[in-house]
Amino acid sequence: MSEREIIWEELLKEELLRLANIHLPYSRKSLKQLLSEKYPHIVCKDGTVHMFRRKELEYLKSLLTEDEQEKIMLPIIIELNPSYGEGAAVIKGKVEVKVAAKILDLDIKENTQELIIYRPQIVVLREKLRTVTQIAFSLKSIMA
Amino acid sequence: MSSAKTLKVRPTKIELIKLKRRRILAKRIHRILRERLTILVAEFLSIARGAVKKREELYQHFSKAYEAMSIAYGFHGRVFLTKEMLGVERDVEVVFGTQNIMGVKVPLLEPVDIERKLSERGYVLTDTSLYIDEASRRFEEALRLSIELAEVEKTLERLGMEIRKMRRRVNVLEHILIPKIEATIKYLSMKFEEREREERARLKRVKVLLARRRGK
Repeated sequence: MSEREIIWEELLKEELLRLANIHLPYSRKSLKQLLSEKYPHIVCKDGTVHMFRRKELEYLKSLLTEDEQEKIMLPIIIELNPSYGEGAAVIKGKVEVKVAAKILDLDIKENTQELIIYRPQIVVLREKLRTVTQIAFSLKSIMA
Repeated sequence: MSSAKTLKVRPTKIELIKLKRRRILAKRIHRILRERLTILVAEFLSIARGAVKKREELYQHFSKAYEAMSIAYGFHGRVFLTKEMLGVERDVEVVFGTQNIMGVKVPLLEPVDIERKLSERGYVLTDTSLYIDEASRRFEEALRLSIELAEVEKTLERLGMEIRKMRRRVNVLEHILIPKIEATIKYLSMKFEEREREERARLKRVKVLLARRRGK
């Protein structure tokens, strides 16, 4: 293989690693914790700081009870999962699902742990909660 | 076979295995990049729609603010208004942060207390009229909207740049790299098949020669 082709291969490998959810945070924080911070933020895997808009946090606070505010972990991860079909995504977690269902005006059973949403719904959710949600690739979509 | 359409590799089985691995990797990256591109474009469009609305809103606010200002000028006179304005100058506090949209670092600007209460504006309420209050309120709203619009437009610029870069990468993979790898795999497979056929023919020939020798 020529030198150029070796460089190409290295670039491809790097690209795969870089793309694999590097924009996700190291650890998530609860809504209550974020509301108590002066500048609510988290640090992403790529080293960047992701700040939350206070208005969005206040909006979430208005949707949830005191107990749920401690349970919900932010950002809410919208996981793209090809096993549910093209453009489908999953939101996991009881409180996270409740918030998403309220915003999207969906009827769900109590204690639902997983919610499958599709591209137009992702757009609506992102429009309303841009800093509070993050889109992620599932391991399946990376390795399939 | 033209070398421009294939990669320069030694025709060995090891190279063929390596190429097949590279094809899997390239296809996987292509799919992820395409998916990322789709998401980025959707984000870009949704933000652009918001930006258009915000810009229209800002124009309206500015036109109303200048209208209110000119009425206030007409009512109080330039000298009085300029004197009152000198006392109300202040710094604007804006929290500057960053947000991460699919790996793209974009700004986040949050104005702090732009819209003040009447008593906090700094001019003497008894000496001034409602026209000044109205003009101040409208300008404060316009300032808040300007900051919000600045954030949205910078976000659009950054996302646009990333989309352009991403599209180029997707196109390179889709139209150059993957077809080249596939053409090389096909070329090598055909070459090995050809070698195998030659080998078989040679063995048959040897078999016939040996049979002839035994017959003598």
